[in-house]
Amino acid sequence: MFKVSHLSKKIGSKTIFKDLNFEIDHGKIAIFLGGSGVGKSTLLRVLNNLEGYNSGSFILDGFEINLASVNRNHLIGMVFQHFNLFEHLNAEENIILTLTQSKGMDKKEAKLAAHALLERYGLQDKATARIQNLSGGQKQRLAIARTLALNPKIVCLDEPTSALDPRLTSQVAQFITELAAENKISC
Amino acid sequence: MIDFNLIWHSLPTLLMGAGISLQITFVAATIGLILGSIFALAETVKSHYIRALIGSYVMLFRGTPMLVQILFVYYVLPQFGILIAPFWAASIAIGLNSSAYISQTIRSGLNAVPQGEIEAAHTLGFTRLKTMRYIVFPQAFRASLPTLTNELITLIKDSSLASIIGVMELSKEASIIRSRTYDAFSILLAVSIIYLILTGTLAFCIKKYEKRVKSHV
Repeated sequence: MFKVSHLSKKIGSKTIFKDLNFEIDHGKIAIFLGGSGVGKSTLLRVLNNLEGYNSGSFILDGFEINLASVNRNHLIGMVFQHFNLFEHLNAEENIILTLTQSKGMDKKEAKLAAHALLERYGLQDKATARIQNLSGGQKQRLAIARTLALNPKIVCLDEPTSALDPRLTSQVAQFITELAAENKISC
Repeated sequence: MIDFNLIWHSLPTLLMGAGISLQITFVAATIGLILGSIFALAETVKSHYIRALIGSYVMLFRGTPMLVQILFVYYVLPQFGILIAPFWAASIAIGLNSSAYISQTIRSGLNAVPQGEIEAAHTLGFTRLKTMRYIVFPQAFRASLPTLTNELITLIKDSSLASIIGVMELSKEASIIRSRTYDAFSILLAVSIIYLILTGTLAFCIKKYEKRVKSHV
């Protein structure tokens, strides 16, 4: 279980959120809804250590966690609204680099793992494609695959369908459901 | 009239000079690239003092003639006990001057790397150093490559300024032959062609490299 308690965040004098509390169980999907500018993305950025916060505590599976180390320990992963794929690398290299540099995997092993992930997300024929040549849906699937390569316990998806056409939305929803089935926490 | 005989007999001397010109270019480019990269990276830090310091350095070297900078290194530094041989004085001065320009080129390359990719690397657990090494620098370098090519070509031409402190590079050798033979036209024509071959070859090689790098993406 992931528990967030009394989380507050201010930017300058503006309060983004105050005394936020929630719990998410493994295998569950939490959806944060709200109008533009209410702090949904900011919350995910805070959880991913991309932004600081003013107060709050975080407990994962009974242990208090320090957000400063969540990236290093691969506890939380993030799929960005605009994917943020490494544009100078091809599809498989995005995953291979992540595995070799972040997880210390050797290149051969990383390549095998990357191909397995690409196959799972229907991108096996796009392994050597440039990012610029992928469609929005393919980029989204690659971004999910890259994040999942590190096997995080919690996967945050920032507006995962906003950059996709309606046809692809249900496909992404399917992927998120599959994440939950793998006992991951999705938000 | 072009004296082909004079050009032919002067060729070994001119080519030796061209070798020195290339050595100056190589040393200056190395200094320029190393310092320029360090300055460009340092400019990304939040400290106003560091940014002001680098800004002053860039202004100083871009705002004064390279000739004066070479003369300064060669004639003024010995007054403070720093004796430098003409070759090294010229190479260092040209390198320092070049670092000011290269730092600005690399800085714009660094700025061209999307912030989102840096954030993605951070969430994927890349250290700052690895983010720089694998995400930022390759893209910044690629974005800077066309301007860096121009800078390298300029360096080959600027190496001729080393002649002012007696370095026997290509234009100095030509100057000696010209004063001995009084045939400015033939010698300067030969020198111009050699410079063109040097700059043209360099531009061609970098263009090839640029293509290879792009196709590798």
